[in-house]
Amino acid sequence: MNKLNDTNIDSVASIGSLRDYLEFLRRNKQFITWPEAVMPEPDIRNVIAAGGRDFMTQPAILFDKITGYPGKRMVAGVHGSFANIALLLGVPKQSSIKEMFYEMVRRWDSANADLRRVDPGSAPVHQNRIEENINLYDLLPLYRINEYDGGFYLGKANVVSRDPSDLENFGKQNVGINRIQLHSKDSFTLLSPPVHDLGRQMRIADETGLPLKIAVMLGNHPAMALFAATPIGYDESEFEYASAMMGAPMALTESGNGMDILAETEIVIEADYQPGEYKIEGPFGEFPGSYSGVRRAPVFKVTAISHRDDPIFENIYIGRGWTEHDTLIGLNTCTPIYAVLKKEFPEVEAVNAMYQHGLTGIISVHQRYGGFAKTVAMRALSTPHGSMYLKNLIMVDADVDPFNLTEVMWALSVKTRSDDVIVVPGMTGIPVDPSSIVPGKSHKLIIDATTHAAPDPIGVDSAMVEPPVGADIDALQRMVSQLQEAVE
Amino acid sequence: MSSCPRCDKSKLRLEHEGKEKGEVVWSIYYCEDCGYSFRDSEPDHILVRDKRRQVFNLESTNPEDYPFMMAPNPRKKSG
Repeated sequence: MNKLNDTNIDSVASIGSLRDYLEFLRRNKQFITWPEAVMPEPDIRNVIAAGGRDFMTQPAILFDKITGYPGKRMVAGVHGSFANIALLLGVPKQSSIKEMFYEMVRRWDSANADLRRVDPGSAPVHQNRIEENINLYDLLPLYRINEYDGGFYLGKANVVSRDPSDLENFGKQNVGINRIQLHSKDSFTLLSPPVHDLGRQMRIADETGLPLKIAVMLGNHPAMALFAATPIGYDESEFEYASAMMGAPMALTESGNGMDILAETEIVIEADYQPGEYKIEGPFGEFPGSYSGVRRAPVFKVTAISHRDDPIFENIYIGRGWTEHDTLIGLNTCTPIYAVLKKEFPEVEAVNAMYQHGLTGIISVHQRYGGFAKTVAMRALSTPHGSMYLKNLIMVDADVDPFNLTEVMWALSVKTRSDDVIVVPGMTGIPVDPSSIVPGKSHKLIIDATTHAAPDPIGVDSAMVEPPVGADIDALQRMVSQLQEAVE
Repeated sequence: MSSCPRCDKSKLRLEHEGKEKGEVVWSIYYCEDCGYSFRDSEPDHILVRDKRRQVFNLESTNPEDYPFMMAPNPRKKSG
């Protein structure tokens, strides 16, 4: 199997780049190189989707024999399984999702960002520079991600942009993941909802006439995509979050158009926003598992490209779940909702908002008094992420593990009454939710599956069975498994 | 390719040719009317308009028939 890096990558802390991480995954049996020649369509999609059926253990998959792209390399599934996420978090790759959730929570308020500067002249990303005869089709081994997509997409582009009216403000510099569709050798459309940070910066550029430049990073340190996809404040830096959450330094350098970029990124595309210029964009198979419609989307013109020697193009398979998108954003969707709720309601135990970016969420909470869980639910629906993405919310007791759907179904089965269901119509939603009557508006549904508490008199005469739980029982479970494994 | 599989119009632009040992193995085209791009090695249910899922074909290539994702914002008057 191909070795990707000569650096000694013996722990997650020594990872500085995508290449380092792939080598680290390889050592942990979480990375493979596809051995056969593939056609861009449908082979790449098929291989990635097949591998992704097991979202707990799928390896990252690198393709280096893509017909028509001799010498080019493409990787997908880098964040495609919870085993890969666990290795990135530095915990055992067999860790449960709930254990990783609490590991993310533990790191959430860390303020120990360590950003280091690399001179552009010595940054690996600038090893090769293209400023004339730009041809994205030649550089990137593209494939149609879902078969009825409107074109060729970059599905995992980390886009860096600055506030046009406050260029020196590092915190307002944004890194987000935006879908990008190519429209020529040197132009593309980029989608950003108006409420996202880049959408806000595009509005400022429209209103002021100030130029808006972006740098599109492809193939990054894996913490970058993890935190570029995390909803944080407008004046908070995703670079700082990534470094602080990783507990490791990250090296930045400057792109040719003045953005901060990761010094060891594989490929960086520099581009200018073209205010008022639109192209027909889409459809695109999105994370709810449906195609978004055909829209008019704003155009960006490529001005230059930097890339490492023999670059690796990182892309994704996204569509009807479970896909890499769900694993990539699952835990970091849960954590910010939990962080907001926990400050105001310490009774909140855990938040599982992994399903389609939180379209369905499950929250466990200590029921203080009758109706309390509904109060917490209302607050969850007004958090920055929850107001848009949370649509269906299931509230369970603190002793129900929201990451264990068997337990959640038990709570739904035995705790819920018809008057424990609340529907709030006409609320904010996400434009790509296929159930929306009007894109961007949706209902909010709360199912309260917690135990009734005083002053509610219901259920007082039906005490619950308390099954054996705790560290002793966990040890016994492991012993049963070991004995089973040892059967000859 | 003489017409766009999606909108049936004929302003196709050759974007790129993939080669193996100097031989062209596929070509990417872009439709200047509807913005669709495709590779001529894709299967018939993508490349042949009548064989495509009809919901993905376009009858209009007039941009004004499609909603904005991020509509343009009017320029604010300075001062």
